[in-house]
Amino acid sequence: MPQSATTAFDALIAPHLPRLYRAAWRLAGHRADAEDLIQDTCLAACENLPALRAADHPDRWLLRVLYHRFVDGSRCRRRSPVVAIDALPAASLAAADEAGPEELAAQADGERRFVQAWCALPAVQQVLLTLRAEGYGLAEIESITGIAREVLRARLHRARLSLARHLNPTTDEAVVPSRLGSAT
Amino acid sequence: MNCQELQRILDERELAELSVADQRELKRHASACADCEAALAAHDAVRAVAVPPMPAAFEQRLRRLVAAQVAVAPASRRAFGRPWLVVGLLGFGVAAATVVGLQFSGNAGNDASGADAARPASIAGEVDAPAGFRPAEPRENGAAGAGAAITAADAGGNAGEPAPTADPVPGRFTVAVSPLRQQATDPEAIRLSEVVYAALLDELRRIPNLELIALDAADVVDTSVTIQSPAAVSFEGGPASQRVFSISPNGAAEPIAGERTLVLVDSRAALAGGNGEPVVVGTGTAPVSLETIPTALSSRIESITSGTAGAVAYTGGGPLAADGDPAAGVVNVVLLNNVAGIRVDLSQTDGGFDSVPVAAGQEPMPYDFRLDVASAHAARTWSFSVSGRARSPAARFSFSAGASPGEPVEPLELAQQVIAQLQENLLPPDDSVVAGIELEVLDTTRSTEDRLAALSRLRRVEGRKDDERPIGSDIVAAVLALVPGASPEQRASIWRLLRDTNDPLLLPALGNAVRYETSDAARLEAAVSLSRFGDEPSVRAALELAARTDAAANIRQFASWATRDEAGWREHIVASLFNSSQSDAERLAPLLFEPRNYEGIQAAPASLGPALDSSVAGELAALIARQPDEAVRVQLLVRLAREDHPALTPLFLERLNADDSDRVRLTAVTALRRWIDEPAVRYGLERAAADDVSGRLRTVVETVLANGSGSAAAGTEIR
Repeated sequence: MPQSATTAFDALIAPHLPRLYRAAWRLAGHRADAEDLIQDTCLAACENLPALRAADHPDRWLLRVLYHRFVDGSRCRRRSPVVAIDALPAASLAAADEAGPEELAAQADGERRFVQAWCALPAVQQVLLTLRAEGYGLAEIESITGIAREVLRARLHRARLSLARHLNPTTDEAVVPSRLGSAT
Repeated sequence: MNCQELQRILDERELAELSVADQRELKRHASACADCEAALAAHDAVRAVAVPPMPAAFEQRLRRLVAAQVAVAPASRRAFGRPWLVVGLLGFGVAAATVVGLQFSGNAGNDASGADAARPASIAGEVDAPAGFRPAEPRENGAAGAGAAITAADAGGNAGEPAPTADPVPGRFTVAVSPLRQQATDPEAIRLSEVVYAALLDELRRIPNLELIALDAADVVDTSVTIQSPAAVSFEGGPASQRVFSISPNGAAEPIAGERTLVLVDSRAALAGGNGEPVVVGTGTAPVSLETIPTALSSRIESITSGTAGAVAYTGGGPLAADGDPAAGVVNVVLLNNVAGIRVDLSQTDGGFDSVPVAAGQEPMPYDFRLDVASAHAARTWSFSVSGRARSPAARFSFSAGASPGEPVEPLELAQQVIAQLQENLLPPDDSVVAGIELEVLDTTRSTEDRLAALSRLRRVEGRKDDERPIGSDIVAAVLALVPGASPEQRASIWRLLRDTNDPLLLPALGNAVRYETSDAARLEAAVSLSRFGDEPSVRAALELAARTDAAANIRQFASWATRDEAGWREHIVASLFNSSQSDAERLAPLLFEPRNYEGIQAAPASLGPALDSSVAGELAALIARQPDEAVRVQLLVRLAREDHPALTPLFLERLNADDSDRVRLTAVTALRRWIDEPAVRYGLERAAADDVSGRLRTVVETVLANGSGSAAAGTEIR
């Protein structure tokens, strides 16, 4: 490995990998896609090392790349609406040892509902909710996504309501059930 | 606390930081405000997701990948770093009875410094053979595909050209071109393929605003699975977000389903080794059917190949699925034959990570443009197929060109035709072209027919632009002014062509058309366009009125569907089935309603799903039995087969035993095939075969009984 690449990776990328991984995992929903997303991000970073070096906050710079990579790819992901059950969040497996059958069933159902609701969100909303869940404040999210603060506030709110609606589809859709104006 | 304060807390603070009193206050407000309660619940739900720690080995794999990436030549790095550029290159068919992954025999044009040896080993390339696979035997280099030695450099590729810039320019299109690497035994086919490839490259280079990346197949790195069989089925995976799978049967008569030898090929590991040959990770056998193939996840590849596949949750075709196939968008079926060929993947850049020219609230320009140029050579027949799809439904197109047996093959001419179609249908148009078409629409001295033809062209162009400039209000107003003097067919065109422009001028016009238009066809187009306008009270009122009172049954049907959600429509289907005050045709119409028959509507047909029980099945059986028209009975059985529900097996068995139409009985056999493991179904099929006097049904049933249920037995069916 060229020395510069080693140095750059160690100094600029490696320290932020756990944080990137968390964000990527939340966005992608499972390990393989999260790793691919980070791989893409790192390769893009390697092509733009000067910019990465110049960044005040390399972690935000990398997250910004990751954000755009994820949004770019979201369209294609939607074209593959097959979800393997074994690709559902590994978190459910982690807790499996401690729960009884009924709890597990309820938990799995809850997770499946969450995954379905999450997948129904536009990619940008997923990113905003992810960054917020990872503890980033509005100023940081603004610098990562380039979305202005006030717009961001509104979009975050919309994202939450949208997720809630998908988690509990009876709330709104029971009142106005229709396909009007939808993508379908 | 008010809503704004609660939102601000969710945006800026950690709930745990709040004082007990503030937390109590927050919860009190949320319990009294539905929006805030929902927002809080969503906030909690996202936070509650447990994220596993990063695997320890991942960083090391990533480090190696980055090192290899930095070491490779710029063109290869560029392509590898943008996996969506190469996704289309992954769908290459694999020669029959030959274990072939992706192979190459030459260097990329600007990769003359031994970069092959330093090509990146993708982190995902470190794939262990799935359980059930035995270690692969070493294979000889050059065992297959040696004849198809086309490289970018050979074909006038990009040798000597400067490497592409690091970041794509917003709005520019990128075309990645790669030779297909198949085992070609016909030297003439190889020669022609090279000529066509060279011609395509030359033509593509002449297109302004288009960045051409002529790839060597070595740039296409991925894990792929090949089914070694006469049917030559291949599974090929891409980066997780862009997996593409293709099925490449060599002969239509040869079955794909059945027990197949599977070979897991890891071409990335080969690249790391630098010898250019795909590495066979392992081989094994597994039952395969068409239904097991639309699986877009690597885990599914592993589970299929190892025969340990569990249940699959299939969430439906989705709004982007192509017509007709519930698994569309996941599977590409490509008939290739054993011949070298060319595949071109057209993608649009969105500005890389530094800028995304996407307006607020809009999705990025879809990377849906896709140009597959597969040259098939059978008895000297060449054929090209091109299909594309853009944001605007009007921008869909398909094109094919070829030469018949006995005719002289003109590859250059064929390539030029393909390029012409590309420019005409997919590439972003020049601004002056758009302005010229707009003037034609606005030109009142032209005939209505000419102006509508111009509008049609404008909509097609609109779907190819990346700035998503809507049709202007002046255009909408000018077109609406044509309505009073237009023929019914022209009025129908107007409502269809203005679909999804969502100009405010259009809303009252569409509302009036839905109510007062005298032509059924035009009124239907207006209703469809109105339904796409948004869930506004006036829209809903107009469509609800149409659902109740429109004179045309299909308009009532569509409006009724549009104003209901999935569950509501399902209830409506069931209620109609039991509504004895209606005619049988009316009772069955909602069940047979196909939303995709309406241009611009891509929703999948509803599934009866949870509403399907024995009473519904019984009612359906009675209704079908009363249908005098054989075609209708077949249509109903095909529709119900999609439900994939065991409650319907008695119905299918009844048709199999009692129907006097061979077509209906054969359809019933097809529907029952999935349930062949049920004793009653097997018994019913055996009896039907024994009783069949013509012999035709017996042959089919015996084949079904011999082959078993395939995927169902393996537990890999798509639901």
